[in-house]
Amino acid sequence: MALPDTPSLAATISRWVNNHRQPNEFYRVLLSRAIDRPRWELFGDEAALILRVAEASSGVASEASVTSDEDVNRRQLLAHAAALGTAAPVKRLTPPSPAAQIGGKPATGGTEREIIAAIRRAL
Amino acid sequence: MLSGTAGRELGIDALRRRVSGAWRLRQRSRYVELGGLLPGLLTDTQLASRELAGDDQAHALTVTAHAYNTTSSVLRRLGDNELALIAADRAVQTARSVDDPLLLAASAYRLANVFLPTGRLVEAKEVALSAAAGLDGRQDASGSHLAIWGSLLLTAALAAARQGEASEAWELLGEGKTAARRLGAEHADLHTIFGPISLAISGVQMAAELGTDTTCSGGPSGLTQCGCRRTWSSAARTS
Repeated sequence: MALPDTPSLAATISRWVNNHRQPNEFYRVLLSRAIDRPRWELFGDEAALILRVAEASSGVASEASVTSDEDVNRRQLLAHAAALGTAAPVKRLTPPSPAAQIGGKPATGGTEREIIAAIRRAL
Repeated sequence: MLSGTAGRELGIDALRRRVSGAWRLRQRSRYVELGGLLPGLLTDTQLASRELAGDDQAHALTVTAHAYNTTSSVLRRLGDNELALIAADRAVQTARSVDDPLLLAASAYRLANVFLPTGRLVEAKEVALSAAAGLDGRQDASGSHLAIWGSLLLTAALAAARQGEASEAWELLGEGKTAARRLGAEHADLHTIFGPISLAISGVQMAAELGTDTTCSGGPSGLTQCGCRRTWSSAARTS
């Protein structure tokens, strides 16, 4: 994967942190991997999507109206609970962990164990 | 001429090339190739450190410390923190033997970053701050010095954040920001990678680590107004 140049990445992060513009799909994958945090935790709109899925399946949608800090807190709590409790949406929204790669192919657990064993012998 | 595994030449230049190659593979997350390369590299650098003399031995020890650092980084990534700790500790011991403050700081940085994900926050912060203090007065000796100093401060800041010490965390991040500004752009070499982007990512990560703590004044603008995960998510919701 070709990485963006430094000014581009810095500008994207700055706009994100300062609430000017949200990262696009490409940067979301990149940032999620760089920070090692799930996307729903980094990008509130994705947490909201999980929440909507949870609401739709549980019938609580009509009760949710964001008018106060408490409501925001509640929605966030629900979103987190939904993310923890509903594996399917989380699985779909969270990018794969940055697994060990070779030529774009992930290393398997067995390969990782072999690498560790070889290093252990040399240490 | 000394020869190592698979009849490889054990000259300093050759070992340096191999260590640089390993570092590049690490940066590209090419773990399978690294797995084939690191064991031989470790064996050869250790052999060279024992067999060479004088300046060559000092150079061999430096290369060995870098090899340990790369190994520690790979092992941490592969999830073997116990072995990563051994490799990081050996890097620190090797760096001490050559009396190179920059190499020692880089090895301490790696050690602190093994402690950090395993929850050994006190050790992570102490090692990072102690190593940063070891560079006092030498931060501007080179870009590498400034970068490793900044990296150590960010590591200490993250450890403080995970301890829930918001004020200290933001203060340390602020010091790191000074280093990043002075560098102006990302600095990447065998010792570390550090610059404005690393700092921005750490700032974001810290805000997430601090969760609902509302005392994070001094953090990145936009996150400090409320300084909490709620603000963080609220900000992101405007997309």
